Amino acid sequence: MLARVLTIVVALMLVSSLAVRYRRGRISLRKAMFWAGPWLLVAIVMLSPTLADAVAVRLGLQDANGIDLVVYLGVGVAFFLLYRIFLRLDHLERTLTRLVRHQALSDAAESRQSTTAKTE
Amino acid sequence: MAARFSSTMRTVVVVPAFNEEQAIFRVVSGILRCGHDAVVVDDGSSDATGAEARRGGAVVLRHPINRGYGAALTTGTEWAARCGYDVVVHFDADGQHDPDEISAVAAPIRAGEADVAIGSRFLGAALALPWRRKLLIRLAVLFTRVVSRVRLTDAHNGFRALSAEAARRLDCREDGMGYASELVERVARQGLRLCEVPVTITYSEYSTSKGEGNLAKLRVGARFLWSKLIH
Repeated sequence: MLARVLTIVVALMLVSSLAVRYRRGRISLRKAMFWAGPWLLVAIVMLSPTLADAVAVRLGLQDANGIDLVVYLGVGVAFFLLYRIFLRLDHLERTLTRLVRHQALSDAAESRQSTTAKTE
Repeated sequence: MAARFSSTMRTVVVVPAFNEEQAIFRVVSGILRCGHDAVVVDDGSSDATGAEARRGGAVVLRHPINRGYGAALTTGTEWAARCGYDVVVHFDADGQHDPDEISAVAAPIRAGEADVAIGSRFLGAALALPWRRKLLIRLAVLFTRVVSRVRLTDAHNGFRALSAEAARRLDCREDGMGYASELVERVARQGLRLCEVPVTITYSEYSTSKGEGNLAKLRVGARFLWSKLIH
């Protein structure tokens, strides 16, 4: 019982912190809802475990209870997000390299032009 | 790929350098002494690498921040293509390679016999090669054989030559040390003609201290595999 109460309190604290950040304009509504969603889901499961059990059975997980379903989904979503972050990071790294290369080649071309102008 | 008559082909030596102020002047002087053009890509060094390379007589391209071995080589190779060079030679900045062997490495490209020529220390000589490094290179050779399906006698040798056309077609994207593995794999995938040329690698206290540690070399392999997985 204590664990349930604590989990609900933590989830609500995180959701309210996201709400505050949204109100102060630090994050967009879409981002706030995206991050608040999983925590609201956790709070709902904790408030009504039978509801989550029913959803688990509906999804074909006959032996699983609602908490198991949340864990399965959580791991799946975490892996997906990790993969997306890696791709994004890789994309940023490549963009940064292209930018650095562009700068290096532009500087070299400029210095070449000025050297040619001086010798003429 | 049709090759022009060798005497009309222009060769440039691309040297990627990161904090190599102690060695770069000697390396550049050696390249120029052998009659080749040199371009040093100063990869965000915090020391006087760029100034020393310029003093030695090289063209210097500067990355404002460090982007890695592969990124520096690609920058130098792109510059060479823009300047109309026909043959691009990659050469290390730490003094391990012998500038007198540049012509030999570039020869198969100039003769139109190969599109990419890679130096092999095991066909040539590896002076003062530590046994741990030797073991690791042998493992890397095996790795290349299994992953890229290319049979080579050496791996991760930074002394190589490419025709400008081959460099353009390869379009390597690895920023770090994985560039060497990527290059071999892309050569095989594109069906380009690859050959090995005997070279001499001299390991000094300086070059060993500058090079990556053995653990870092293993990480390069893991990173390369990861990169293959996510793309």
